Amino acid sequence: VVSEAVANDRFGEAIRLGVGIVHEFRESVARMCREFDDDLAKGVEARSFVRTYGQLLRDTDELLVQLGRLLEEIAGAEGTAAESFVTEMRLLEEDTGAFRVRLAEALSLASQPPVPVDWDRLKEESDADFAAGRFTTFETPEDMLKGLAGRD
Amino acid sequence: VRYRLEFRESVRDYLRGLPLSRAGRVRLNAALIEGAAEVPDWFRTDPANRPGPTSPYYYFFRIFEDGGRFWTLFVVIDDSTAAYGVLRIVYADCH
Repeated sequence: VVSEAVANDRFGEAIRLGVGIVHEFRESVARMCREFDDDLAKGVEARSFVRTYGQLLRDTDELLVQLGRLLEEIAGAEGTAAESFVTEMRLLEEDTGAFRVRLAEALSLASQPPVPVDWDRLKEESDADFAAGRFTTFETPEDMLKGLAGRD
Repeated sequence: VRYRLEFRESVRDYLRGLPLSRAGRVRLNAALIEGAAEVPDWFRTDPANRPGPTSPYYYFFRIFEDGGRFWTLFVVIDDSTAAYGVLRIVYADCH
């Protein structure tokens, strides 16, 4: 329906409706980005992050495929009354694509197995450190923050 | 907090040396509180978070953002003294 409207400038109302819908999609993508940024600003347990955002990556990929198809269909609409719709669609594709890059990078990191640890050796060394008094503690979370502060 | 944390000095020094911003350090601290000082029993005892059924260790793995890039934090904790309210941070890897 949208591509028909775009191909025929006379469907002004349908075009305005289409622009509104795509604009809402863009706002929805912006909301997802904010939630993603907020989660990573706080820090998230990696497996829970993969569970939450793995499906979103698949949905985002599907959206990008559909957007690509639709943009191909309306490729000739620049310079017509439907130009605002095409512009909004391209912006949606850009926003979604940028979000997808960050999402995929974070998911790839969170999905990687942790570094391999030689558990027997860790136990040996850690026990030796404990026996030698090479452990330290902090009385409060604030002390821990100060005690783990770097040289900045 | 639920548990008093004891850090191997080598782990403390490693964490101190990380090139994190002040906000990144606050996130690191929050991760240590959530993953160790306030860790719930269900997480600590979940076999998925332990190297083996008889191991004295559990671990947590987190992802956070600092300075425009993503960081992962892997921490190993000796919980053999959990009954006494003490957990020992024995290993950390953050990159």
